Amino acid sequence: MNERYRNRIELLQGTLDLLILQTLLWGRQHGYGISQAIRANSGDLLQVDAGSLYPALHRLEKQKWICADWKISENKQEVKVYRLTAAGRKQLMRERSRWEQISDAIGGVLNPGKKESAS
Amino acid sequence: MKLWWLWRKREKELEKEIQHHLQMAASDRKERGATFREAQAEARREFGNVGLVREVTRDVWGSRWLRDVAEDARYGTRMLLKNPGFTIVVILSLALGIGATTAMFSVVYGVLVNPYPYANSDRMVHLTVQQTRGNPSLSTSTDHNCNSFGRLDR
Repeated sequence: MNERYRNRIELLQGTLDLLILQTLLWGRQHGYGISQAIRANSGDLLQVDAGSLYPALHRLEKQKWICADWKISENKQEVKVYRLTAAGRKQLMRERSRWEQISDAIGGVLNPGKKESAS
Repeated sequence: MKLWWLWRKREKELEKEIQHHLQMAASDRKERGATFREAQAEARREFGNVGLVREVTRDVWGSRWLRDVAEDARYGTRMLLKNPGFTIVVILSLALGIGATTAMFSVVYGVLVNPYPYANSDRMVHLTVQQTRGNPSLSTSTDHNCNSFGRLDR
């Protein structure tokens, strides 16, 4: 069971970090909000489960790409909200370009003819 | 002690975070028309195993081995307290074993290995001068003896 969760995290790690950083670019957000935003923006296709989300958030926080503050919500609750740091912004740019490279590369492999005509 | 306090704090914060997630998920479902019970259950089901989420998140903190050691120690203590008879036998045999060995070693060391109260006593030598001929009272000049012993030392 534990192994299953860990595998899933490893599988998603690169892209999940990218998705979280991108979501936080729009402003500070708590864990649940991040998962809902990813779900909504992907047209309900990507559902980040909590077993991947919270380890990723804590890992990104440890790497100082995001930082967390506590604020009081409307119903008088302490809520941990995350926001992007300057280093996180840079990391987001790096991961975005990396992702674009990967998706271009895979696209090129899947459609070799198109690539030739384009260049 | 401070580390322990930080530990507790981080643990409580994670708990708060998870509880907040569950509450938000449940209230979203209630808004969509689920009953309180359904909303709670559905939110929990989607979240998955709370204990496991807690655990994989803790792994990120990197103090897992320390926690494992602490948990093993606690478990060990509990088991020992649960079987006091066994514990007493173990403690007594360890105490007797260690005590007897220490006593034996102290005696052997004090009597056989290092019986003198000086440093480097293994380098001490006993020197005697034997007069083989002539008058014994004449040639026991201390200066002369010390000098020849000094040369021996080198």
